[in-house]
Amino acid sequence: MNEKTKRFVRSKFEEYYRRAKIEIPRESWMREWGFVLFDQYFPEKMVMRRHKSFATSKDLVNYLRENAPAHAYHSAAIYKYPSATMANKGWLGADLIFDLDADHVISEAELSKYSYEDLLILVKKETMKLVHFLLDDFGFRADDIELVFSGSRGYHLHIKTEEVRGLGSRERREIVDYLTAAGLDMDRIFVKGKIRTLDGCVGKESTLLKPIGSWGKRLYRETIDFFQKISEVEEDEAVEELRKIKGIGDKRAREIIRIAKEEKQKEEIKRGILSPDIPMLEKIRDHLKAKIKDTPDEPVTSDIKRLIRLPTSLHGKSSLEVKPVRIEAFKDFDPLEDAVVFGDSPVEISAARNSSIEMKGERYEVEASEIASLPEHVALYFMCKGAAEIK
Amino acid sequence: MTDWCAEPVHLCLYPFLSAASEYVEESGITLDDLIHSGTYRYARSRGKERVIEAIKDGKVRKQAIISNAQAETELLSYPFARILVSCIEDERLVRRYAISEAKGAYETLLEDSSTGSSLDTDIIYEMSEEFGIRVDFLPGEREQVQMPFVDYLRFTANLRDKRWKLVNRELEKGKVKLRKSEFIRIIQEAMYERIKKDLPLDVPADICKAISGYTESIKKELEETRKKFGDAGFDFESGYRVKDPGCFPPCMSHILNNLKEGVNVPHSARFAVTAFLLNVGLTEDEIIEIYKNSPDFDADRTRYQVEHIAGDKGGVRYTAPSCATMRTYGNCVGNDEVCEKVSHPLSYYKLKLKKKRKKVEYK
Repeated sequence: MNEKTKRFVRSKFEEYYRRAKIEIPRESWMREWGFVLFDQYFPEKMVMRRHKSFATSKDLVNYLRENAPAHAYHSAAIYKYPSATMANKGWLGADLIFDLDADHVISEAELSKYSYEDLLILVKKETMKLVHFLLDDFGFRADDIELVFSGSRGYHLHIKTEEVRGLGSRERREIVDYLTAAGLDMDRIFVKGKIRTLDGCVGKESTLLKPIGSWGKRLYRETIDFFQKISEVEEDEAVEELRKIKGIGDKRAREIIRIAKEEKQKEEIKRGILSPDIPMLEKIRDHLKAKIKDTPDEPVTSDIKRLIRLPTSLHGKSSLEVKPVRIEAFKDFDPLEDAVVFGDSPVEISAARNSSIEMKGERYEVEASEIASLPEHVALYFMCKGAAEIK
Repeated sequence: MTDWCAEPVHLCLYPFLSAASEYVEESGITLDDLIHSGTYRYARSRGKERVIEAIKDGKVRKQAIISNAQAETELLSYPFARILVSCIEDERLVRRYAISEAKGAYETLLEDSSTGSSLDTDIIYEMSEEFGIRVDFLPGEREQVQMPFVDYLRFTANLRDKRWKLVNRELEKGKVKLRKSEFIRIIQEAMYERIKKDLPLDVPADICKAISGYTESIKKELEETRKKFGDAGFDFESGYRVKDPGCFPPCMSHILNNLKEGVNVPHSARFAVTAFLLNVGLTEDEIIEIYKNSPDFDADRTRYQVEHIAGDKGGVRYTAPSCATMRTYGNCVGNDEVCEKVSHPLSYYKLKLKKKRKKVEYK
């Protein structure tokens, strides 16, 4: 990003901060704040100016207007002395936060195969899963969960109830372990015993596998569904599905299908009984576990002194808003439409490399060294990405 | 609160309850009385016994109490034991003592809550209220309870067994379901926390001097027990014997020697040794002491870093790196025959201790 572009982007960010209604987190005066400015180091070096605090929300808004930062963060924690050095801040508690980012959802090797648009869809699915865990298992109310698009490739969730404030690192890590199924003990969640079948009868055989706990039940249900599907679809499709599982080859797959298609098994599966006779049950369960579990970034949640992006601020690497989304509206949320804050007036740019993006339902492509006139929101996106300079 | 709760016969079994300290306060007995008066010599000797039992058996045993007078003696022996432990100034003894008190009370509570009468649930509620744990019996159930996951995590995050991991629990709408006996195990953690709190007390030197007869014989016992188990000291919940440098793997000994000699040690090695020492049960203070020789020692920074590795509230947050990681960072200093058998410095330590213990036992 050259100086001219930097000045332009900064002026646009400033415009935004002058007009935007910034959402101030509760107890903002007890939080530590940190900013990356459009300074001489940006964007090669991200110099974080942290340990700041603001006595009033007005002071904070003024700071944003005057400095138009490229990135704005606040601590999840509240402190007695938010601007003191780390050791002397006097930690009083912290919001429970989660970060779902594309680079944790899929492996680095796969990351490059996806387009930005596809990544966003993928991460959205993972976020949906997390929301369900938080509502169903952890019993949070939808109103307690602040869901925010990160402005880049993921979502943040903030929970600010008094309940969670006092949780220590270890406790928070336990929550992450729950979501990621870390330390899940199959022998503990599947025990041999009598089970209640779907039709209400009690399976009398004490050798049946009985699910224990929420993960047990979840995995049990998923396994039953899986076998139901296996027994119903065409053999080839079933083989393909089974071969996705590590340790199951063609021969094994066909054996499993044969057993799953037996009348007796089919009947039992229908009644919700998993017979321990089914081969490779453990491998299948492991595979399904990986499908059900969620992938929030562990250190973000367990670090009780973490800085997190200020919702309604802008992301300096995309120009998109760090946009709060109501859970009920999440299904229809499209970041490349709803988190776009800049307008359509044409801006001339010179592209630094081949890039493309779909914003507000319109597809834009530029080629390296091409000079193009683009709507402001697209131009700013490319500039922040480092893919274009202002002409 | 029902009457039986306030009876000394009940309170002396759980002398750390707030009602117990209130009782002692209201009785008008002064610290001076407890230390000097002949009336309380039985309380004092029972107090010493509490600490000795902690050292020898890892559990403070429940006494057969018939009369109120006996109960009062038992009750008073608890604050006296705390004073004794505090005067001895041994961090590990403090921990050992607190665990032993909690263990004893846990067993008593198990008994008290399985009489088959309505008192069973009463005492569970009494304890939960005392420790600020919100618990409910499941409708129509006397053996199944549920509690908010936040309370559950507060007291189980330090329990190492997999069965306590939240992921292996039934969690629905924010509530964790447990068997009553499991819940009582959680109460034990709460009791431990309560007992450990404020220990060691800030006891004036003249009081410590006045009771040195008691503390001296405890120290003797402590020494003997430690001798019997080698340098190792006690067994803690972690399953490791605390600090037996003779059993440390070569990599850790190497780093420790460098620190001792004031050689500057790379960050990765510092991290490794700090995590390792925390894992085997050293306290943060003990570790900071080790770093004092380091050429760039900065007390605040060191404390911050050690605390970070330890995690908040003193639980161990990081596990020491594996042999593979140690090799990656060039912190592995080569093998001995025990190294061949393990892939983790902690396994080395465990294995070596086991061998050593066997030698002692069969000598």
